[in-house]
Amino acid sequence: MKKEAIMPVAVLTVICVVVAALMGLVNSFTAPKIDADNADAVKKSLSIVLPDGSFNPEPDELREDAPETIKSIYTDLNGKGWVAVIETTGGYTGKPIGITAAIDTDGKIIKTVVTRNEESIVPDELKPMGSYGDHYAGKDAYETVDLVTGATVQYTEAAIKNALYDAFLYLGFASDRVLDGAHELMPNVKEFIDITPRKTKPTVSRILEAADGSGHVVCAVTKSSHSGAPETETVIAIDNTGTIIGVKNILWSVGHNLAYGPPPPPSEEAVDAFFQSFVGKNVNEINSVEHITDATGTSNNVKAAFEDALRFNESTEMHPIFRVLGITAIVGGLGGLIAYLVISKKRRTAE
Amino acid sequence: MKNNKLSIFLKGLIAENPVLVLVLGTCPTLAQTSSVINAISMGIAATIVLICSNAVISALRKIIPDTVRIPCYIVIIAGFVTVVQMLMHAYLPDLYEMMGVYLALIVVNCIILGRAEMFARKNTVLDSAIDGAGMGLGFLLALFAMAFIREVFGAGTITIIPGDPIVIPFLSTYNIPILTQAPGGFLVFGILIAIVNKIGPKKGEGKRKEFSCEGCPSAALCGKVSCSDSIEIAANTAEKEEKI
Repeated sequence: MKKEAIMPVAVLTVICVVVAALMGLVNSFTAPKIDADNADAVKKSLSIVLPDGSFNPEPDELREDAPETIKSIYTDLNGKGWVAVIETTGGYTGKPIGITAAIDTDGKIIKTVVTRNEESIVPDELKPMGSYGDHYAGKDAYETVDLVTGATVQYTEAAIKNALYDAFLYLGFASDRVLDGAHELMPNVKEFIDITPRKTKPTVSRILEAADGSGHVVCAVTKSSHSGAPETETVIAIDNTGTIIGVKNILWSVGHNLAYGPPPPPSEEAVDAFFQSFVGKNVNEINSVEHITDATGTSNNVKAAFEDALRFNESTEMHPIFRVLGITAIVGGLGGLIAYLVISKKRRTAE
Repeated sequence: MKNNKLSIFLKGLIAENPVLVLVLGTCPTLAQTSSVINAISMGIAATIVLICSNAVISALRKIIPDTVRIPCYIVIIAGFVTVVQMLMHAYLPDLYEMMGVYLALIVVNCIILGRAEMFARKNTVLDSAIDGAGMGLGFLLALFAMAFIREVFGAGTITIIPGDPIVIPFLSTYNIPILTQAPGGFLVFGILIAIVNKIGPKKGEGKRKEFSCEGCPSAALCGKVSCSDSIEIAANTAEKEEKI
C-alpha cells in the first residue's frame, strides 16, 4: 500500500527533475547565444535610428533614478541627441518588447524601431524592424500614436508609449506628471513631500503631502488583469477632511477590441465627466458615482482605486484576525492530514 | 517485421493522417498555414517533438504508473517543446519569431498526447519513434498542402525563405484573398478532408460491423474512423478483467 502511494509521486518527481535538468543544460548554451543576438540587434538598431550617429562602444552610466524600462542610453558624439534602448513592462502577456529610440536635443523623436517583440499577437507593423516606429518620428513626450486596433495590441501600444515616456522623463524632456497634476490641483501649495511608503496597495502608486499641511495628493492606478500594465492613472487631491477637492486623469489606456463590435470606447468627454464627478465625494460616497456607459468594469475598477486612495493612510499590513484565521487553517489542515494518515495506518494494521 | 515497421510509418501519412483523417491538431493547422514556410516550420518542430516524446514515453512505459501517466506525458512533452523552442530561438531566430506563440502550443497539440496515449505506451521504443515520424510527416504534409493552396491562390506568393516571398505572376494579381483568412482556411481544410476521405482507404467499416464503437474508450479520440486500435484496447481490457 505504501509503495503504491509513494511510487507515482516518486516517478513524477524524478521525471520532473530530469526534464528540468535537460532544459537547464540546453539553456546553458542557448542563453548566451540569444543574449548575443539581442545585443547585436540593439547595436544594429543604433545605426538604424540615427544613421549618422557616432557612439562610444559602451553605453552611458545610468543614474540611480533611471526607470526600469531604460536599459541603456547612448549619447551621440556628434551632438545630435541620444539613443535610448528600452524594454517595455506590461503589454498583453507581460513579455518585454525591445525598442530603440533616437531623441534629438529638442526632445523630439528622430526615429524608433522595435528590436524584439515576443507578444502572442504581433501585427506586421509591430514586428522587429517593422514600420510602427516610423510613426513616432517628430513626436515629443506628450504626443501619442494610435495605429493598431484590437485590445491585445492596444495593451502592447500602451506599454510602448509608457516606455517611451520614461525615456523622455529620464532625458529631461518630460515632467513628473503626478507632481505636475498635484501643482495644478492645489496651486497654492508650493512644495509637496513624497511620503509614499515602501509597501502600498497595488492601486496606489504615489502619495504626496502638501508641505503646508493643507492636504494630500494621491495617484490612483488601475491595471490590466492580463499583464499588469497600467490602464488608468489619476491624480487625486484630498483635503484634511478626506474629501476629494480635485481630480486629474493622466492616463486612460483601456483596451477595446473593435472586432467584438459595438459599443465603441467612451468619448473623451464622457471619461472627463466621469472623473470630475468624484470631486466633492468622500470615501463613503464613492460608490454613488455613476459609471461610464458601456464601461462598467473599468468604472468599478477606478472606483475601487479611488476608495483605496482615500484610505491611503490606512495600514497595508494584514489585519490580525486574518493572520489568526490563516494560521488556524494551515495548522488545521496539517493536523487533519496527520490524523488521517495515522487512522488509516491503524486500520490497515487491524486488517 | 520490416513490413510492420513500414506500415507503422506509412499509416500516419494518409490512412490515419492526424490532421485530415483523425482531425487532430486543428488549431496550428489553421493558424500556421497562411504561408508555406510557417507550415513547414511547424510541421518539422511538431515532428521532432513527436519522435522524441514517443521514444521516451515508450522507454518509460513500464515505469510510469497508470495513475500519473498523463502528468508524466505532459512533463516530458513540455520539456521537449521547451528544448525545441530554446534551440530555435538561438539558432533560427527568424523562424522562432514567425511561429510566435504557436511553438509553445505544441505542448497541447492533441496529436502528440494522443499518440503517446494510443501508441507509445503500448509499443516498443523503435516502433513508437517510427510512429512519431510517420504521424509527424503526415502532419507536415497536411500543413504543407493547406499552406500551399492558401498562400499560392490566396496571396499569389510562395514563401520559402522567411521575409522573402516569391511572387507568382498572374496569381499575384488575380488571387482569392479570403483563402489567407480564417474563413478561407476552414474552407480549404474542409475540402482537403473531404478529398482524403473520398480517395483514401476505407475506414474499417467491416470491422465496425463486428465491433461496435459503443462503450469503446477510444471512440471519441479516434473519431470512430478506425477500430484497429480500439479492438486492441478492448482485447487488452478484457484480458485484464479476466486476470482480476
